[in-house]
Amino acid sequence: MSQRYNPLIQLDNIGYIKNSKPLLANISFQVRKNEIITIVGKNGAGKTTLCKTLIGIIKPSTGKIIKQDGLKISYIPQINDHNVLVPIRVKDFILLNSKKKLETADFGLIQQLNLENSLNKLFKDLSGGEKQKVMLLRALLLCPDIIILDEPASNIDFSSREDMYSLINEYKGKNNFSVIMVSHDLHMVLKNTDWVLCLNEGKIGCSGVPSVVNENEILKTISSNYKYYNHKD
Amino acid sequence: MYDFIIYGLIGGIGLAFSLSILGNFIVWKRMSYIGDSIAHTSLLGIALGVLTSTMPEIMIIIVCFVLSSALILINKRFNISKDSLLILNTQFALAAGFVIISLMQNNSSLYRYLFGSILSIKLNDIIIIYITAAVVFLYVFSNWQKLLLMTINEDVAISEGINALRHDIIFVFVLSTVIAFSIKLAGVLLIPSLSIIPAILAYSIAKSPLQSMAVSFIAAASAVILGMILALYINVSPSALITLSLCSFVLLRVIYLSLFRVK
Repeated sequence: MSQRYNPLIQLDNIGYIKNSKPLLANISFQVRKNEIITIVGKNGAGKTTLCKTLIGIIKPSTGKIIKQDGLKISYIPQINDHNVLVPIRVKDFILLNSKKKLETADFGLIQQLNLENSLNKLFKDLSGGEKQKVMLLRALLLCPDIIILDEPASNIDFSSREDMYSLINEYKGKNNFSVIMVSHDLHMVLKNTDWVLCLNEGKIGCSGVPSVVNENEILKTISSNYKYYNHKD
Repeated sequence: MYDFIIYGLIGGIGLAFSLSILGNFIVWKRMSYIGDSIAHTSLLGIALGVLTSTMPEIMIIIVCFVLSSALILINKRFNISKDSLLILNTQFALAAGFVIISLMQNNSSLYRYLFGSILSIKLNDIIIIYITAAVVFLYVFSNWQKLLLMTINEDVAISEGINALRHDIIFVFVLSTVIAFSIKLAGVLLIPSLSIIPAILAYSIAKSPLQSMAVSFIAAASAVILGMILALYINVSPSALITLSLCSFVLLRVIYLSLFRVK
């Protein structure tokens, strides 16, 4: 468990209303350096809305978000959100809008993600799982303070998923960034997370250190998706 | 003696550059109807320009920019498809334009702007076309990486500090300006053709965004040359022949891909 001081982002009583429907209500929590927060919840619970609020894509209707000055955030959206009409090669895409050069990029990381043979391929030609890995590679190469991942493990098979989580942990240790992750993966929630946030109809149902939060509460929160991801050791 | 052809060709190639470069982003953003919509919206601008005795180009830029920016803002609030909103834009501008034209006593000067010929290009027009082409070049290539990232995933771009709304509005302003200065020469038909069809062709060939720009510009410029040469021999509008040339390039590409079973 990382030390919980000096928040990178602080959410204070955030609410978001769209078309008279409250999508988020009374959300308060903090993101601290070098910790992993996992957001769980059923479909439509407000997970993606919360991620987008953290990034600044959605402006909250009530409450305030305080971010540290110069905070760098990388966002990995759900796989279906990418526009694949742009004919861009993976090697160009991973360094898009970055001053880094491919020659100086961490090749070990590219190998760990099994992407060394995909660098010359067009991003649009990759499988869903490969696209997610490219997005993760891109996020890690940008060296942000926080990486926000919206269901990173969807489209990725179980063994690769485990590799992905350990890779995120490894690089989190090396580069000191925080991770906010939307996941339906109970195994991930219980083993690799510093803080769990269970969303229920836009509100925080329960939150805390995984060992303290009642496991049944988490299970109840993600039950609609639980059958797919029950890989508890 | 053949000055008008030379001017037409030089001007047409300048138009092909601006429109085909912007056209790639329009196709990638799945907003193919925007060129069409802005071209039709310019009718309202032309009508207002003639009505108020203002330079129609200025009114076209103002009307296209205001309506398109309104669309961007509406799109952010209501999650409806962009193409549906563009039709709303087009229909409003067309209807309002026709109402104004009908109320005007002398509307003969409108036709000069609506169905202008590429062969009537003067030196002044060429200078304006190349200034707008330079603006397009500077805008696109100085924001190249940001525009690409925004096109691939706007949310990712916003998370990395790119002001997507500002870029969307600047893009529409640049597009409105190009269309305003093209419409008198190219007409409503040619503008969507020179922006969208070359980008469709490039999509099936290009392996990088820059290659896509190059392919679409070469296709658009070739169509301008081919269309204008054909227009010399048969008494048909060059705009229609340029559009048909572009369509034939796409058809040839489809035939090539089918014959050689290339994916």
